[in-house]
Amino acid sequence: MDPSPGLGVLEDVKSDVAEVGAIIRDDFEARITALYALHARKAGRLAYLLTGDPHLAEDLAQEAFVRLIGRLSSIRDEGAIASYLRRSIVNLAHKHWRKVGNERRHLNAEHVSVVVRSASLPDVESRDAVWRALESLPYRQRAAIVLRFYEDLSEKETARVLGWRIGTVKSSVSRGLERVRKEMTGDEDERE
Amino acid sequence: MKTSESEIKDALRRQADSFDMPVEPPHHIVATIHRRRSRNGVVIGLGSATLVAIVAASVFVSQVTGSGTSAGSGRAGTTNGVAAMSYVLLDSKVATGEETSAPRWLREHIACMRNQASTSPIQPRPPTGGRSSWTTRRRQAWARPRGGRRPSSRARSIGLCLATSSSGSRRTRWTRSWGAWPDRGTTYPHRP
Repeated sequence: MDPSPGLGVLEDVKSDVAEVGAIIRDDFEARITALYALHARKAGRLAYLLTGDPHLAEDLAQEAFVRLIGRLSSIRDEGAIASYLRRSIVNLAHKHWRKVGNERRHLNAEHVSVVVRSASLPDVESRDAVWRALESLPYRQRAAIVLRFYEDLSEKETARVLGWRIGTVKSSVSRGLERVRKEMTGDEDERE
Repeated sequence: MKTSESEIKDALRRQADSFDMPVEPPHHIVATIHRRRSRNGVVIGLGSATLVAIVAASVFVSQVTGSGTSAGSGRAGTTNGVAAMSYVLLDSKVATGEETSAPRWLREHIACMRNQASTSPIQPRPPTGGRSSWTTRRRQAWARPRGGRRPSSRARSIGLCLATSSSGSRRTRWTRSWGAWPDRGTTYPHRP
């Protein structure tokens, strides 16, 4: 009679558990990789339009994914992932601009000369005049315009993503467009 | 010229299309997945002494880089701490190609650190100069000596605000006790 029949079974169970663990781990990583491949570029582009800085946009997209990983188990609907990422990007961009504003205010209070970093190339003829005008908008107007016209969201959806009232979205878009038109007219006058 | 919405849409699309980012999940996302999993109990091949050392290094690096553990900024400190410590612990083994028990993500992290070390040493962050949180301001306010009764520890622990207490605003209570509300900049060594 085998003196320790239980030990062999225990070893088998252990190896099975390890195998299952490895499969789950591989499966999870594969899912993340697939989701990243599917959504990363779009998320990055939205971040780029909101910040105007390609490097920052990559960081924001990655940060949004890190947040997504933490919530992945509670997101049942795969379709909700894109919305989750969109909202994360908008929140992160808002956080970024708020931080920049705080830093600038602090430096102004300390009477330190503020060097405003240009996010994009200082440009030249090749740069899009409309984009240049959009870049000059305050964050709120820019966010509203990007979500409405790039993401093609309705006013109601935009309001939900930004956490605003619909009226605020309407006025932000309207003021933003007006300012873009004014900038464009100004550019044309300068050229003439 | 009146810039139409379709022109803005086109400009946004053109600009978004000019942005591209790699779709392979970047290293720190993979590291985050593993860290979160480790936190959940599936620790992968690290001894307790190593973990203690990593935590100590994380705290140290957090202080050096100014990325504290509050306000959600602990990630950078922890990531750098893990990388710095693992660099010290395992670099020699990895460099010689020796098989180690370190998980793959840690070895990748070391490689990543090694690449960064030559070009970007850790720099302290500039002060954000931002407004501290409401809780922090309340706690600082309690720590300041001022006239009147010291609030109970319970009141302090729940951050009960003097200004909203039932006994009236700070100004009301000051006026009631000491007469005129002091001019801005007036300092008192003790109670007036």
